[in-house]
Amino acid sequence: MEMRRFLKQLALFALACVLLYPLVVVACSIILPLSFVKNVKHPLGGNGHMRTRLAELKGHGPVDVLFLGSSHTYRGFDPRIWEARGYSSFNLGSSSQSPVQTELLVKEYLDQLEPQLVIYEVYGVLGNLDGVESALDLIANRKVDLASLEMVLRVKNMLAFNSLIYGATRQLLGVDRSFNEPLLNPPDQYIPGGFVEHDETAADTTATVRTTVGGPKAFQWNAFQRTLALLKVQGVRTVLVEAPTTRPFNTQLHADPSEVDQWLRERPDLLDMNGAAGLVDSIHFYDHDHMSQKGVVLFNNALINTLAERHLLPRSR
Amino acid sequence: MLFNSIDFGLFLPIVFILYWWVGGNDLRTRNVILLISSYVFYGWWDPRFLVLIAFSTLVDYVVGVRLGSTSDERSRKFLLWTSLAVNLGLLAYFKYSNFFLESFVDAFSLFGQRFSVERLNIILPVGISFYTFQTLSYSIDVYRNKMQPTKDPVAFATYVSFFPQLVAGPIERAEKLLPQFATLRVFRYDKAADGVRQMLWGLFKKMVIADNCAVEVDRIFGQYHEFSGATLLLGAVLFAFQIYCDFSGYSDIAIGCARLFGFDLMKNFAFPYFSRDIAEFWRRWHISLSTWFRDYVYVPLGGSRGGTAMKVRNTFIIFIVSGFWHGANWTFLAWGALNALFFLPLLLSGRNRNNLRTVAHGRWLPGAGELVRMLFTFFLTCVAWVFFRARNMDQALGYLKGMFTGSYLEIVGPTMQSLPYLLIFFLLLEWTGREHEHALQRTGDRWPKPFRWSLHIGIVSLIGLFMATGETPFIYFQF
Repeated sequence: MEMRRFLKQLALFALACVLLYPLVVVACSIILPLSFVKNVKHPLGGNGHMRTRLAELKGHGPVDVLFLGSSHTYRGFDPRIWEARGYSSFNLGSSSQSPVQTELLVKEYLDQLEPQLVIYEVYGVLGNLDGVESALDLIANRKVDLASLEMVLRVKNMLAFNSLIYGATRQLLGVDRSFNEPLLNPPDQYIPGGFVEHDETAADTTATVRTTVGGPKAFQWNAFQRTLALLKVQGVRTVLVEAPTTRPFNTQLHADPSEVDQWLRERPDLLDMNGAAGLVDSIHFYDHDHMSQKGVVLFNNALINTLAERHLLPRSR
Repeated sequence: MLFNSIDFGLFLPIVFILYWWVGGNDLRTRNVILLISSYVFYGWWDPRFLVLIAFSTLVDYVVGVRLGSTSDERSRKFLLWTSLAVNLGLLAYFKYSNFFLESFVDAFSLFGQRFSVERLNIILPVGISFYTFQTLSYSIDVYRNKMQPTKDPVAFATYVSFFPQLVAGPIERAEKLLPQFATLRVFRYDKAADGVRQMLWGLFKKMVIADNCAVEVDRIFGQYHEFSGATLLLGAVLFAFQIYCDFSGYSDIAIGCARLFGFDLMKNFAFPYFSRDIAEFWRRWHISLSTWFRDYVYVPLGGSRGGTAMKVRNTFIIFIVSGFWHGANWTFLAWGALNALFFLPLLLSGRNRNNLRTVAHGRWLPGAGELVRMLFTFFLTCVAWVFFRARNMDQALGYLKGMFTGSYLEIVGPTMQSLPYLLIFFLLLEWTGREHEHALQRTGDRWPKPFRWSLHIGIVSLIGLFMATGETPFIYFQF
């Protein structure tokens, strides 16, 4: 009897929590300044112009090349250069995009964009990312749906979970509908096709950089493998590319290689573009792992040439 | 497996179901389920640790049985020393080898002999200081004929490895906990419900207060030479909250969890920051360890029965040994010695048992005098905590120098805006519950259900909204 009573009360309490918790999250986020509520964030617009990028995708037709990955991607692959070389493309990179978010975006846009070639930008820490920053970016700037919920359940983070509740409420109430993300956010400028141009050079990119590497998180590694498998099943040629970073960053990254890094090094189809484009740290980067526009031009042309030499480029539509 | 992890969130209900349903009314089956669960829980960190705990258990079980079967004093002494040598030897090897090695090298360097020795690559098994002391208390009590040795190896192994309190206490005495494994536990609603409340409060303390304070404390201690005296004082105060909420949070979860299985563990913290002097503080802080040292070290040394010199000696021994138990670092020894210095004036003047009742007993608010004494005691503990938190003596002394000589006209507040409000909420609930077993017990007993549930759902919400989102182990696991 006592056990039955205990379990009943516990179940009722759990139910009450499940029902009331979202209300508390929303109420706190509305009543209190968002900076006060530690585990709710809503980066509308965000750092990577994801809102504009996804808005541009509405009604967008097929492309020859699709770029996937983190800020190295949306700041590194310039569709204008590819267009000038005869290839249509779209850059679907986003801020700190981890494999879980890449998988979500690929599932959502692969059929629409029908790329012949996917360039998946990778580097050693890709399996170590917790995926939270990118999850918040997608929650705030993309529609909230079941795929968002699935992403949050994979990321397993309270900040992402609360932000999903808050983001869904804002979407339901249409609060963000009137938000217009500025295309120019100096020194960043959004370029149609998903690219963000940064026309500055850093004063000092040679400082030693500390990166954290180690074994991959299982959920990220599985998402990465699922995405590669999906692209293979769909018959899309996929090239893994390591975008250039400054020498100190790159040295540090590979000094103590992660398991993912070692796995990548063993793949014959990995294109490590470090050193391949003749970039100079002090001229072609604006911080330790992002290229300035001068670097982007050199890198993209070098990459296209490399792909052409290896007969990996698609036929232009 | 951490209490504040998803793994434990799944593990606990599974064990609960197995224990009460599969275990049925068979005592032995239930103990076996608890034993297996405890080994799974402990092996989750590193399966190699299981060999160590099994060995320690086996030694003390055999020692206990043999002690019970012989009255020859020489044999009994040999058996006791065997237990002491094995348990303290394991502890010394795993915890103190590198400390002794480095101290040895440092000592020689004082005489101009310089040589370097590589640190031994030893992994400190989680919780070894806790279960070692627990098994030791059994052997000593059997030797002293304070209790009969158990002849049930399963019950004894479960007593040593009981998962709620295995890795960070409370350090239970065999005479209190072991008989509970020999009695069929009966499920009681009130006990289990209060256990859940205590677990909830423990999780709040750990995940909201301790983990968020930790971020600020790491920042301030990491860059202490850049901050003003006021900021350094704030850092010490926040560390006081961090260490208390981290450790007492663990104890709350452990005690509450044990109650779900029908067990009663001893109270480990009794709202120590509401103490009016250091003696009261030490009666309320880490009670299971303090009383362990009192009964197995302080009293055998003569306690406070002898003259002044003996009292001073014994006080220093017990505090310094307690410091050393926490870690192999001079900072812990300094922390112990400083607490001895704070405690001695009270002992020598016979005022160490002045404050036996809870502060403001039966009243809502303390008197002005009580408040001043509480704040002064808290300040003393904060000064001592600087040694506890510092990486080495240089950092501790530099920090204290900055705290006492730096400017109090400027202060860098916490980066987390909501932290002061969360601390106020925490202190209010602790204050209202200070005469009870835990902060939420009073609300559980007296408040009408709608108010009680509102408060508890509010605490759940605060955990969700303000918890640290990374995995954060408990500080005391390293001891």
